[in-house]
Amino acid sequence: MTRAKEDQQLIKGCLQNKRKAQNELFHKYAGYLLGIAKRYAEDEHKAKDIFLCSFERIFKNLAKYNDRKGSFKSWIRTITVHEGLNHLRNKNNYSFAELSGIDMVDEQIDLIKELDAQTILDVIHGINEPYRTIFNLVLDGYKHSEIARQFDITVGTSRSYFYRSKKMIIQQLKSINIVSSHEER
Amino acid sequence: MKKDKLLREISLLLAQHEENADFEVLWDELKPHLPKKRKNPTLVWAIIAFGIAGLGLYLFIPKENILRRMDKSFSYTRLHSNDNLNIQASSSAHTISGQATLSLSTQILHKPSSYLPLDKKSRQQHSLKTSGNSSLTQRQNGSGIISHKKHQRRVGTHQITKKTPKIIPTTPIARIKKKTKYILLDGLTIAAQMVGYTIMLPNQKNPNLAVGPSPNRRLPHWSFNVGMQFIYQHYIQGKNHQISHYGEQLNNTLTRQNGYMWSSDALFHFSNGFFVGMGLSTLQTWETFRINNMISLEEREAFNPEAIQVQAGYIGAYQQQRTYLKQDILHNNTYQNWEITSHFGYRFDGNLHTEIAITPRFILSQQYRGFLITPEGRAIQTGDLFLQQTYKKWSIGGHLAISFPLKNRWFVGGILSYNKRYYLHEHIIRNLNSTQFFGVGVHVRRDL
Repeated sequence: MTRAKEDQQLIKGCLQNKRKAQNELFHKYAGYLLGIAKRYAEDEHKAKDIFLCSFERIFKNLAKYNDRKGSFKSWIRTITVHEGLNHLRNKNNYSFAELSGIDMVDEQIDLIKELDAQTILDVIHGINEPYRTIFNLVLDGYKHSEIARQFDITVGTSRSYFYRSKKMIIQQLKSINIVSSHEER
Repeated sequence: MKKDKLLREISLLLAQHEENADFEVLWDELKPHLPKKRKNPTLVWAIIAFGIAGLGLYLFIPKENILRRMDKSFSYTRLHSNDNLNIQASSSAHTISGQATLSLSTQILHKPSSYLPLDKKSRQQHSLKTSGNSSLTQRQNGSGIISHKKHQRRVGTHQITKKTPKIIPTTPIARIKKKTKYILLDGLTIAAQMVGYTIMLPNQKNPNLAVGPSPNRRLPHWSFNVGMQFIYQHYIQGKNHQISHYGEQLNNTLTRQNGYMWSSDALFHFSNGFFVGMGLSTLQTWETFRINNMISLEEREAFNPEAIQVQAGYIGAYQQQRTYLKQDILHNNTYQNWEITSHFGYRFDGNLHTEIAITPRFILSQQYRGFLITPEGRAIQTGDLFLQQTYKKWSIGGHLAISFPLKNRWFVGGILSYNKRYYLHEHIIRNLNSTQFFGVGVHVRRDL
């Protein structure tokens, strides 16, 4: 059975509020969603909150899922990201300053070591807000126009923050000898 | 390697990354907040209905049956030698104006030591000698509860010979007061007394002194109905209520729904006029309505150049797209409903039987076929376009019926009904519709 068909079966069971189907769906995607929740949360406790709220919303809004508009995995990711943003919005009052003097020079990156997910997550956690959230949102497929709408900023500001966050990430990766770079002029 | 390529690698890596944690604990935390499976309402409803019907049957068994069973119960008595029976019969207001107290010292020839089943033959052996040592105290005003006519009577298993005064208990419950020993009545007799049935002694000749249900009193009974109604249905609010997140509310500028309904019901009528019942009905309705609206659909499309398709999912960006659609379409639909109907009502008996009832309905299934036509009359889609089943839904209503009696407990009459219902159907846009229908028709009833 393909993943999509398996998901459809589970969703059907969940729509009938069958506990077994809910349990299976939860365990199938729990690891994935907890990973997303951890990227948006500042600590484990918050990540757990985001994770649980996301699942609650997923189960309660399952009837609205339309498989013709995308995979189930991407739908639940969107919900988790929204939940993460809600948590951040409740806690932080972001102030986005217009950034100037951004070095838009393209860099050539060389991978020294194999990348692993845990290292990446640690690096992402190492950068400050709101850079981290904007980096995460771009990573999760949001366009700068959407990010700008979310935070009521200009598209340019969103881009600037993203470039700076990207630079911070590369700096961090350089510092732990995972990548090296040289400028391309 | 370019920076964007590095980002894509990070994105891919994180998309496949799964965190480890004690998910059982998290599941236990989440579980109470999840929607629970509801018990099948049909089953619950059926159990309640049959429970009520069963209770009604038990409490309102026709009098004759009770007496027959009571007569049997009297054949089990516990008798001891030298029993002193003090039978006290209090008068009831309408039959006897006085009060009599009768004390009998009985000598029992036969001496059973335990419960003794007595048939007719053995009962005759239990004759009581009352002439020698019986003392009778009588205080009587008016027509007697104690008569000195020559006849034989039985009090329980005791046969009292011709010189014994006739004892007719006329209170709702004939109290048997023990003095030294007692007669045991079995559970059924006591139950019958508790619900108000008087112990009526066999061979009681005087009908004026008889107690229990009057001959005119209605007896509990079953009846079966078959009916047909023409129905007129329309949307109460004139529009569908959107429950989906897609689009805006739709305005139906024209609604019309006509049809007919067949129904068959089994009802149980209690002696006090109330009745309960269940049945099955089928509705066929035809509907024409026009949607003339501007709707906006919000769609997400993954067509960002950075999007990477992995397995069935998308990693990358979605683009929000809002499409505005002008709708001006006529819908022609045919609906076929199967419904379980329950009835809770009251019937006024007279020359005409008039009944009013509340009738909750449970929509078992609704199928509809339809086609769309443009305002110019051109069919744009036909056939099984909408062939589907809606969600199961409840509805509530009521009816007023008048029946004319025919021969052999057959009745024929007219019926007016009203029903309000909510139902959900899904086609492109999920709509929660609120409708009502009025029905007028005929029905045939047979009382059992």
